[in-house]
Amino acid sequence: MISIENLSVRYPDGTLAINGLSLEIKDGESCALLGENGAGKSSLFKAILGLLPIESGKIAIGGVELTPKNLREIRKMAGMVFQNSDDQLFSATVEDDVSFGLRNCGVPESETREKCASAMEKFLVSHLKGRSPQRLSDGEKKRVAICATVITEPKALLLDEPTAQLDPRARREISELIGNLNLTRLIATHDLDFAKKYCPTCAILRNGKLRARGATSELLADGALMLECGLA
Amino acid sequence: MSASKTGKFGASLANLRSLESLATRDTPLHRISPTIKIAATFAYIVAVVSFGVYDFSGLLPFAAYPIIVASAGEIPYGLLFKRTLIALPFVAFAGTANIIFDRAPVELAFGLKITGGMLSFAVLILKTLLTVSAVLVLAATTPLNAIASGLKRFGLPCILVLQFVMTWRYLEVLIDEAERMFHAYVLRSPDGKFVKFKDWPMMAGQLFLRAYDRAERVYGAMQCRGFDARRIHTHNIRETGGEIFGLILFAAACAALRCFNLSAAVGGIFS
Repeated sequence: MISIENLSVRYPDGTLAINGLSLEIKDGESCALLGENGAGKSSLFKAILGLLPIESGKIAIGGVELTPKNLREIRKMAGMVFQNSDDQLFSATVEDDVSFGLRNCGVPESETREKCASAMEKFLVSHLKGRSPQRLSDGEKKRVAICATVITEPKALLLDEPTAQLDPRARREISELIGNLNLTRLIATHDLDFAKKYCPTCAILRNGKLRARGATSELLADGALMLECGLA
Repeated sequence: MSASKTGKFGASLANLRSLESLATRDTPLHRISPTIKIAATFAYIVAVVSFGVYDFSGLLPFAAYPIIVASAGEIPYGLLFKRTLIALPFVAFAGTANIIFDRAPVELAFGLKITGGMLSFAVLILKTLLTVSAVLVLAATTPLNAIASGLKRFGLPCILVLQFVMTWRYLEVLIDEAERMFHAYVLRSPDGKFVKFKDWPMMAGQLFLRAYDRAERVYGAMQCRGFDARRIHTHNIRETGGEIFGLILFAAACAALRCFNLSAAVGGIFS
């Protein structure tokens, strides 16, 4: 589903964020992306969705290569839930925000309203529809952000630290919500319990490179690897 | 002290959102096509600003429009009046010159006399109150996206419509960032007072950089959900025959009130 070949990404200030990374995420796979702060997890997500220019290498989603021409198609196939929901939710009301993606896809207004109502009900945010997203709790914001992303029915979902800044109950609820999504998922997280429970496979990044790839339970059991990658 | 100042940011945001939340109500006025409402507002503003500098009485009947629309749209008069007052200091400052330089006496009804400067100043203030309140009632009865759709239907270039929508959206981002910076500042300033004058340039610079960064991230999130600045999405709107007829009637009424001084005629009956 997501294919990354020898990818290098450099920020405008010259910092090399991703350095020759290759990674393959299979259709339906739920893969945790682990690594210490600055390992390149968020940069990888931004590069996959064309928010950061690629220096070299290739990215393809569902067989469609990321090029300026295919950007729209790529963004239809892959949705991203940002680490900070405040960066993602910007509309006047929750309902407006949830329907934003559908409207951009040119979905007719009546259908948009129907889909929006059904998605909000599914993600238990119907009661928030008239509220301003800025004034919700972190757990509610995250729920709305996920709802707003999956409403366009992407084939793959990139989640950047979905359980960060949440209290234990909200973390449990959001984790279950993500676990129940029937999508290809690539989840950047520092929450190792979450990774163990909801991601059968994982990829560990270090200094912008892929350091390890395999079954989550096996890699997390490797104490030396965890220590080396700043995860223990 | 700091708590009350902190609350002001929240109040600013609430103020900013109050019109938007009013615009989501469902009244017959809210259901009118945004194109019609924009055209009506435009016709009204053109009529109001076209009055002469001393024509105070001619303007008075136009005050009925924001009052009637506010009533039909269930907009609280107090909120509308308070928001209208925001523009007054700027206009009052600009109009002060009239009072100073135009001292020729002008006769009003019932033999009252004031200077031309005073009268033109009053006309300027009234014009401001009327035009600003007309725009505010439009904003309070029409959601932002609908206004954007209406502007696009009038053939306004996409880039200008986008600029209008984004400016409004980023105002929230700016206030939100200012609030965070202010919290961080007052919590580490020994006397816990408002930002010191010497720190204003630094705060303003930082605010710009932070708001810019945040706006970039917000824009990234929008792009991830299919937003394309060249193809800004707007609703498909159509006007009914009745709405168009109503607009023609309204424009004709504005034109008639512009040409015929209703206040003077009514005053003439009683004098």
